[in-house]
Amino acid sequence: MKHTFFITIISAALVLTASSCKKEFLGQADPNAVTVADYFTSENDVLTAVNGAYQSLRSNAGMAEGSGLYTEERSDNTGRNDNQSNAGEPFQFNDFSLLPSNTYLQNHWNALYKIINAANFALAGADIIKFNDPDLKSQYSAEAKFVRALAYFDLVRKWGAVALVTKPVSSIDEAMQKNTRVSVDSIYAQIVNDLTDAADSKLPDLQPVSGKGRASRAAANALLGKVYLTMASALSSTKRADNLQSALHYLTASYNMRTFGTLNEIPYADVFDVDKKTTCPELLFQIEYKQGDKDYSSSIAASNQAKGETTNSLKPGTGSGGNVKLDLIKDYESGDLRKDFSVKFAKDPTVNDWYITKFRDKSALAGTSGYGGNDWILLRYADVILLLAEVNMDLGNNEAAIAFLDQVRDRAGLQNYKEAIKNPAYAARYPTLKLAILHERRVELAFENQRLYDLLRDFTPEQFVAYIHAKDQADYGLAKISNCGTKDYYYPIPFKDNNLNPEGMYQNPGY
Amino acid sequence: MLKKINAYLVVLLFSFLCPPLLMAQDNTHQLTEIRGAVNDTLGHPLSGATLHDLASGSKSRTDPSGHFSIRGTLGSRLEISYVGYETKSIVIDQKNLVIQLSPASNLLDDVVAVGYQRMKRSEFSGAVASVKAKDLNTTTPTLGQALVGKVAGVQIAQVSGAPYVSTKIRVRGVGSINASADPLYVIDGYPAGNDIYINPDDIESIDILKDAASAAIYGSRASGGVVLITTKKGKSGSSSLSYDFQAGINQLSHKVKQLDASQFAQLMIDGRNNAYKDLVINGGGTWTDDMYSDDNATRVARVGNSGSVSILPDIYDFAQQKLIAPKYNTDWQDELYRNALSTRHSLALRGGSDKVRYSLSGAYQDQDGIIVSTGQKRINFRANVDADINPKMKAGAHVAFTSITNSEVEEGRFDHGPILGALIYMPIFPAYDSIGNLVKNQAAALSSQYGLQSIENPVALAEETQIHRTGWRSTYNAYLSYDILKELQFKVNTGLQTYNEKYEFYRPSSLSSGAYPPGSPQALAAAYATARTTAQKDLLAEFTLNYKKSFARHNLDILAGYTAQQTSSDIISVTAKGFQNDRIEEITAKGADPSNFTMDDATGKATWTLLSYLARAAYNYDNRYFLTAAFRTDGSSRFGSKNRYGIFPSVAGSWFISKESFYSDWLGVNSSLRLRASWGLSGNNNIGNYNNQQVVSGPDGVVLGGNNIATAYSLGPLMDNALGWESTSQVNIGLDAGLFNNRLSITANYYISKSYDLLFNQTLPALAGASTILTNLKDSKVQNKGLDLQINGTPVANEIFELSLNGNFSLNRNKVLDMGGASTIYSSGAERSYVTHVTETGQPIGMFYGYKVIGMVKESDMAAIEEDNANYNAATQSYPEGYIRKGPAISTASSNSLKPGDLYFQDTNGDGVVNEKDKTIIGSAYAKFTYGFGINLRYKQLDFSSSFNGSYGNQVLDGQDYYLYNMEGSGNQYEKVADRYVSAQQPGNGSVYRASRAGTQSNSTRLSTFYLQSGSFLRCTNMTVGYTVKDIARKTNDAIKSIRIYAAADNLFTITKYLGYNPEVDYNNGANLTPGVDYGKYPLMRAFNLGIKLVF
Repeated sequence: MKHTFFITIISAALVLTASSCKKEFLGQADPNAVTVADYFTSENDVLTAVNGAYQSLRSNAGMAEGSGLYTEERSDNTGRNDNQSNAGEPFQFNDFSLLPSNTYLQNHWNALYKIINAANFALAGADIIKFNDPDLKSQYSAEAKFVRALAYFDLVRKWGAVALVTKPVSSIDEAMQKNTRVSVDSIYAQIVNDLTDAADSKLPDLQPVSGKGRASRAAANALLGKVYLTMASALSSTKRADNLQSALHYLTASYNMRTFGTLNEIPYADVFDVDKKTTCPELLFQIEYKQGDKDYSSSIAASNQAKGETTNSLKPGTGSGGNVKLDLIKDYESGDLRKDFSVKFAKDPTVNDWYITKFRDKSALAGTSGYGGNDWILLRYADVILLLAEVNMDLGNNEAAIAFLDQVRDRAGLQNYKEAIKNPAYAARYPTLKLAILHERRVELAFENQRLYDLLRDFTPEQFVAYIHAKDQADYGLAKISNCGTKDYYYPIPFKDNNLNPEGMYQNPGY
Repeated sequence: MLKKINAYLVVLLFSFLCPPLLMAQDNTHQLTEIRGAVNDTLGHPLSGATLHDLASGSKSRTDPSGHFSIRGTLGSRLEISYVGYETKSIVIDQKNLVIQLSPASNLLDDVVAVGYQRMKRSEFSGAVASVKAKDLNTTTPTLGQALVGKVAGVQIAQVSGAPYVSTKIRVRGVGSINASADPLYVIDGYPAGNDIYINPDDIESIDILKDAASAAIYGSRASGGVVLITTKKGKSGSSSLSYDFQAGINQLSHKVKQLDASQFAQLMIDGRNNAYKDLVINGGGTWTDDMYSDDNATRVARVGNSGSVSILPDIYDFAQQKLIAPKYNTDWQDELYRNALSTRHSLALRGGSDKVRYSLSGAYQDQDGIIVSTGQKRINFRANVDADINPKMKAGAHVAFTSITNSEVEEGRFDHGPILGALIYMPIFPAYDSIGNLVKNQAAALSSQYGLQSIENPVALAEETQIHRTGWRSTYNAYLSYDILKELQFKVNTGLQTYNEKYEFYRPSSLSSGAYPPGSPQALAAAYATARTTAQKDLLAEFTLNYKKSFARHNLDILAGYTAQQTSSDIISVTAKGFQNDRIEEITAKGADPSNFTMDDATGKATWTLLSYLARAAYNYDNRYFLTAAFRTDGSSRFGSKNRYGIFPSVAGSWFISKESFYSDWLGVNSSLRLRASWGLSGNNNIGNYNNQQVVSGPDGVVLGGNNIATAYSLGPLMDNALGWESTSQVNIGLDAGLFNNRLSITANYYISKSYDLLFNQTLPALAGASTILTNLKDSKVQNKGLDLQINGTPVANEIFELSLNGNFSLNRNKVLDMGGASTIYSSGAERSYVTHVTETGQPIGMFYGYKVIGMVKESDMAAIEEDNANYNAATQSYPEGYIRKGPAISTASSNSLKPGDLYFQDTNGDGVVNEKDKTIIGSAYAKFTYGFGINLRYKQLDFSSSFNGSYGNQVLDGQDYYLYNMEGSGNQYEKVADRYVSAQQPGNGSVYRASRAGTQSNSTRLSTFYLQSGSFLRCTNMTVGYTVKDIARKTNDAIKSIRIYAAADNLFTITKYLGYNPEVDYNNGANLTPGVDYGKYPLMRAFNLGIKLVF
């Protein structure tokens, strides 16, 4: 009878023990997530992974709207004057005093590889799933490859030789083994492969409204053309002519897919008009933001706005906003319509400086929190047209080049190139067609993260240093022009990755 | 049959409710005069021995000739105790008694908890530290605090003064790189009892298994040591009701010395003027001192950078270039901290009959924090019942309940925590306006224009941010044991523990959002509420068989067991935004837009399971030679599928030299001596759940097709499916000695341990898509070796006066022997993400890492510096061929060339410039040794106790220096800053660099020796004076058995050079790679308490 009490306790214990006898007792799986091995079961799983690749583009440490630090501030367009405490780290970018341990640099590098990984994952999924519709597989793969090419193109231009991964990494050993720099040629070969596949895919020439934010054949052709043009200057000269021909071919293919006649049909302000972002025919590829949404909105309009100003956003500015170097202000020709749209002088006594007004959203929906709807444009036709001017010039077709250049100048309210060059001031500043195109790209595409790449494409390291050194320190702010050396043609390999494999992931010269 | 069981249960239940009734028959007694004498084994009289009649409660002591008289009861029990002798309990069978006491083998005859059973200390050869209830500082609010400084080899640090935070406990150093080094807590045999809010009054004893041989019985959870807590149980034959009331005042234990308003204003003026001058010169301009009179607009027009060059016009007379005395001089620490009240009631009823023993206790504690708006209310309840059902069967239940209600405060960075905020906020601003309302948005509104830290009134931050936590923990534990044979006992132990918590956070719109004022659209947008409910459940089943047999001189004790444990948690955490006002400070006031309501990452379920087999065999021959061997195997769901089971063996032996015939009292008469040695393997499974499975992360969203949000999934971080536990192998050699009739006891241990297969967040290259992966580093080894020493002595003990002293000393040396092929680890442990610590082969884990300051630039150095600058090529970071540098090496990170009053760093590698490669180990957070000691006195009815602890030789990285010691003038600073370099005529103390807010070499974000301070300290953790009312039992006719009143002070004083609040720092909450960092943590409290304890 007393044993009944005994039995009660034993049976309580057995409740737990009974289950523990089973093997599953120790095999617990995360109830809140799907394991990688179990993930791909349908075509839709591939689509959501492709979406994951687009999502990875949204990081401001990577190539989204907030990534100007890595391109514009590194060039002569923008910068910052605060070199104190934490601002000292971003200050290193425009000061040409970048350290390999700079945490912003490391974050940028990480974010670009995150994009590559997301794309690799989607591509692995496309290979696992058997598609009912082969065109769908072609589209999804093309989108992922386009995204992957974007990231590698940024990496190879900023660091030169980098590590190459094209499949999801599955073990520590594999990660360590891949952490080694492969040649610039191999990286470009990978980019060309991916973009060629995308350009030849079943993607639409241009995305309809419902597909905005996704890759298209026109975008893939445009990017591939830009890649070939860059290769023409970055790689060995033996293939220069071939690369230029390929650049011309793909840029032209993209140009021919446009739905407008000439650029002047599209007012410059329309390109950046939030209400026209899904319909403006100039836009080729953009990262989309949702107006009024606290998580998915753009903050670029508000964050550029200086104290006391109201041009960009209903959200009042508190600091100096998106700072513009005087060197760029002086590069606008008088009468250029783009100047007043792109920059403004903030008179507040605590600012007294130029700030960026190119991206605006003063809608009630964006409101005083500054939840703007501005899309971040990665590719648009003015860029393609100026690249066409450049490649034609490189091929010796100056007439064709000038025609493309004038298309852009015409919209900006400026006289055509042949008139302008008669102006001694213009001729003194831009004595060659090459410099004229470089200048035109600078003002047309200011603050769109193109300027650094234009400088790197147009100049050798020594020319680049000389070009920067020729500037007036007074137009350049606190960042020191004299710090610029050939080391600054490339970024240093971030400390952490270099440290993991000092030989394979060797450091760039000068750091 | 059922009826009888019900009857039994009724009795059991009844015993909970009115235990005194069970005692009724024992309470009838007739007192008579009992006389006699107390002698030692040699017949010498013992003076001052205590006699206690258990039935009546009356007490007496022997006189100098060893004689006594006491009013006692024939037939009841008399307890005789004397320091250094074994307490004896006899039945009073005659009116004249001669009692002989034998010397106690001191500590060695104590019974200690060793995991799954209790053993005599003498039978156990491992290193176990024990603290009995009487040795705890029970006036402190938490158990951890009560233990500070009491245990050799165990470092218990008071890292926070928050009433809801306990201490940090580290047993014998840190053997892990990434996994938590916290010990395992086992309360009354339940290994899940991380109940930091246990009622200190419930504690009977605490046993800490320090060496791996002892801890190995807990296998994969034991490498941080095991803390076994035993609560008080009832005893047969007595009953008592005790009530303890305590009330006290708590205050800030140490106030940080800071600049006053005028000193701060002068710093701001200097910082901005120096920055202006630097910027003008760097921009290629010409400087004249007249420009110090330039107004702010002129300055900005010339160099931009408003925040670096503008000075508040109400503190600076531009024309005269002079300070204007500020209107206010607010001491923000005085505003934030208060004298806080605390009260505590505890009630305990304990006793038992021959067959049933019970202990019921309840406590209520209301402890306000010294920061306005913080505090904890706590309720504890515990019931322990043990019953002998028949001679072969025993059963019992332990039930405990703890309820906490906390009001908390954010700690850490100033932009949300008021603690660092109060140190930074500028004294030139008032806390309250003329009608007593908090003034807000003062500094923040001026932040971008004048470069002030963008920070809200810290008092408003503390008072208006609502952070509440309520938690309920219940533990139910039942056991039953059955003697299958006389020597063989079977025991089953089952347990259930539940913990439920509700955490609520509300950030009101009445606080500024950065520079935007309270109530502005931005402040409304920044307001949010978070609500998080946590439910945890733990199930335990243990089955053990215990065989004990003595034959001839052989004694054998064998234990074998099987256990299963399952812990699951379920968390739902949501955050709402869109608040339009603060009228409802709850998540229910969420905004109208559904997207204002989001689920947080903390949400989710988890379960982990552990299945184990264990065995221990203890053998001794003639109580002279002891040998113990133990073994455990753990299977855990946390380990990867390729590595599911771990094995943890241990062996220990000891030799009682003093029991050998040849011993002949080497250490004096009645001395004892024992040598011990042990080896064991224990594990660390603090790797979190599911860390061996790579998953897909998501769903997330991406905007595509205009304004549509599409679902997106991406590859989650790489995981290691062979992930396992980390192992620690430790050898311990110990010695126990008792001298002078055991009035002096010494326990010493030397140990050396090696941890391998280290759990490690291995750095991954970026291409892996994750920055780190948790893995076991094969071939890696971390060594800890050290010494711990405990000495207890009672030099004097007689009826009138007793003095006892205790002391402990610990030293530990930590070293990474092998990183197993992983590269050096750089870690960031303070402000932002700058590197602060390094972990590399040949050094302890987490050494401070940075530049070495080698001097301050003087006026006379400038000629050399200017010549160097002229020859230096910044683009190539080099000098012309053959040029010999005259001044200090130039830092490549410096955007501002050296000026008088700047610090300069060592060019460690001699390449002519200071860059990344010149960083080196600059200090250590590890103490050379730590110690604790106490002095206890009793004189007649008065008693006094005190305890101290300290640490020597460690350094603290004061992360707060980033703001408090940067000479910027953007926020208030340490008082020491007044002694900075100003000019050649006013060079200051030679260590504090010049004021500037423009990226000088000194104040850029580079960790250097400048930020390190000595962390050595000596602290008086407790002092208590008590008075026990004389003869109260007799005077009140036994209505009251005793009354003691006492006064106590906790953390009475601390002797240290450290500039911050508390040199015991742990900003990173126990992270092994980043020890020794201070950053805005809740400062320690000093408590003064008065209390009374009544026993009925």
